[in-house]
Amino acid sequence: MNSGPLIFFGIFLTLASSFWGFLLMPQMKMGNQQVTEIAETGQLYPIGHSGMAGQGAEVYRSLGCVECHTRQVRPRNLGGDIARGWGNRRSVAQDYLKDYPVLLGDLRVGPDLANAGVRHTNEIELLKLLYKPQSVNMGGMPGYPFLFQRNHLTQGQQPSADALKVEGEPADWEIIPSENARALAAYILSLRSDVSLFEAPLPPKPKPAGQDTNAAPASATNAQPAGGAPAASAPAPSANPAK
Amino acid sequence: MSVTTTSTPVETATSVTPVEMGATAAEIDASCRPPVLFFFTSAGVWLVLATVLGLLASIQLVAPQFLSGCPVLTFGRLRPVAENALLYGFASQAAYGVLIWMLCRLGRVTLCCQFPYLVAGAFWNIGVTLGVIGIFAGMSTSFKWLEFPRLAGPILFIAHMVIAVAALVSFHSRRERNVYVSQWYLVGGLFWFAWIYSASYLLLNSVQVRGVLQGVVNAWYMNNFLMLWLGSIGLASIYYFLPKLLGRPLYSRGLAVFSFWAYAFFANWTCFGALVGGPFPAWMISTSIGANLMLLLPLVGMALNWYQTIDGDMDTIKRTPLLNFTVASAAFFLLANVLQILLSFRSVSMVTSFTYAWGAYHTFFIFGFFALAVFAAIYYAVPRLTNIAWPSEQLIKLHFGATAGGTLLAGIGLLIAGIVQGQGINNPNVTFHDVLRSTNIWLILAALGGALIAAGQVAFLLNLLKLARTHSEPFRRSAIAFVTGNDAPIAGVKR
Repeated sequence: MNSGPLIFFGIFLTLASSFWGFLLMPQMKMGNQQVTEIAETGQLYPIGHSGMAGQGAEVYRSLGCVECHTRQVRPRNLGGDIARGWGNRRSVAQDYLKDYPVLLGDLRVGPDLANAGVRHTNEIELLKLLYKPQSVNMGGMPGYPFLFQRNHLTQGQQPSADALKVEGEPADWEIIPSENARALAAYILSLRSDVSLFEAPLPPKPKPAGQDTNAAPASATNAQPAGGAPAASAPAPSANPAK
Repeated sequence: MSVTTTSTPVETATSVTPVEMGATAAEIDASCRPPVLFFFTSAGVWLVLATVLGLLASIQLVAPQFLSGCPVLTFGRLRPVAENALLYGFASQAAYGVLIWMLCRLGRVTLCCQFPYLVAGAFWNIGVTLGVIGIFAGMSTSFKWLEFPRLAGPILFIAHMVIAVAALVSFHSRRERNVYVSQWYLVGGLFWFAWIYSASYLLLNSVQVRGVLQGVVNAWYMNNFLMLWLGSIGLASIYYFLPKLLGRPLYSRGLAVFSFWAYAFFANWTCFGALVGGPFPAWMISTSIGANLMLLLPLVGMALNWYQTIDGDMDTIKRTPLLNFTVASAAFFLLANVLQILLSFRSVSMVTSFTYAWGAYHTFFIFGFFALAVFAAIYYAVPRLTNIAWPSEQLIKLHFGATAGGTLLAGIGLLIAGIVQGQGINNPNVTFHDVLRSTNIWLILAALGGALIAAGQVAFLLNLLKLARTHSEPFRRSAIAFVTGNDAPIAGVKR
């Protein structure tokens, strides 16, 4: 252990092992993964985020949303994500194929957003949440008032059509969401990874007797907790998206 | 000043009988002075900045609306800024200072050159500053610990390469042919950081690997930044100061060789402990868990070696303030790694993954192990570099108590918060809002720990700046004299 070159060679080999094993080999194996066609619908998946949602992805990155929100649903046997209604199946590599940067996140100060677009469908409510989380009972999240413009209204002036109506705000002020706020909302509304994939099929839907097949499709919002707990004890995320 | 004098007179305790005498300790210290002091001082400034910003971020966890109206200080920007300032501003620069000085001391050579280090150090600081401003301005890349905008990457990398090459020149021209344990770690750290940083930067920003492979690269980088870069430098410091300050040789060189190679080999495979359940191939996570178990081998080897070196000599530890830093650092190293191994088991990570519990590991590793290890080196080296004793021994004790105590408090707070949070998330009958509320009390404990850590670092910086002021006094006086033309000798100042 006194020879410089020998030490150096060993040092090189040790890191080379994991560089090869964890970076090069997976890149060779998975680097060519392609967009896939979904058997049921014939649509391509994933399609990525374009237009407003694409701009929103940049806002999401820039504000560091990833610091508090993961976007990965763990499998049923490794945590309560699916039971909580954060998704109807685990997340797999295919879901992230079109994302750059991929924002998996590593801390859940806030709920997982892999399927935020399944739980949230109302843009106005989402904008209120971004402006002032307390107004929609989600005080655990910081507000982003700087994404909104506040204008003072003169006597008798009507707020513009875009203005948000936020509880607890004075009536003579109008709150207009900026381009960035709308883009961010569009992006969050577009987040969903709930299609059935070969490597992550959706659980078979229980078919209650007497119902025809035209019933509304079961989405993540109706996901039953593992073991088929009665609906009364199951979470109802549509009523409270904060879950 | 007991801090500088109670350390044992055995300057050569760490190396076996010198075959050929190289430069004396005083000559080496004189040659290292400007670059090492530069790195230590700028590391101290970044450290205080990072801990204060980190404290603000941990207050935001408890009170989300705190500073939320300001786009620059929103949590999503504050937290990465605090982390990056800590890792690149403080940790890496402190590491450079320690490794330059230690490589020269252990090799018994004077520093080959000062200028490249100073220029590289200046550019490193420019890179970190640009990076921090970039994140504040919303230009973060979003890759954890690689959030600095792309512009900063090449600056940091080239600065590192200049430092690494210059340091390797010193290593190559060593006069003491017997290569000590610490030197393996130092050389390894320099090489490993260059590799992980350049590879991750290129794969994420230039090649832009697709999909979850970005997450894989990012996890590989984070793990190796801790284990191989900070870990190497911290371990080098422990292996250097433990025998030196105790005044007796390391228990077993053979055990140290074994621990080094086992650590070097297994530590870089432990990347995916934090990602259990994520959308990654299962074999990757299983391999990491296996590597984590194998990591117990070097950990046991190190623990045994250190324990036998201390040999129950609690008296010396009590008498020598610097040994407190080193011993506590060694203990935190073992604690952090054991915690990391536990957290990566599937049954545990079911609860703890994506929770604050991993923050406990990071706190133990960075503040408990790494920071305490380099503080020992800084407290030992700076008085010898400048020939000035530390202005206040009280501040050193305060620094130790606040850092070690704060780390313990913050780590325990985060660990319990993480367990509570994970159990809450796994119980679908608890609303997410209630999950958050149940963690609050533990997060407050963690924030108190953070405040204690920040206070300790302020004490450290005060001490360091006071010393630097005394050190620069003659230069300032002579500069004033030069400018004003008044060359009269000034009482009380040694030229």
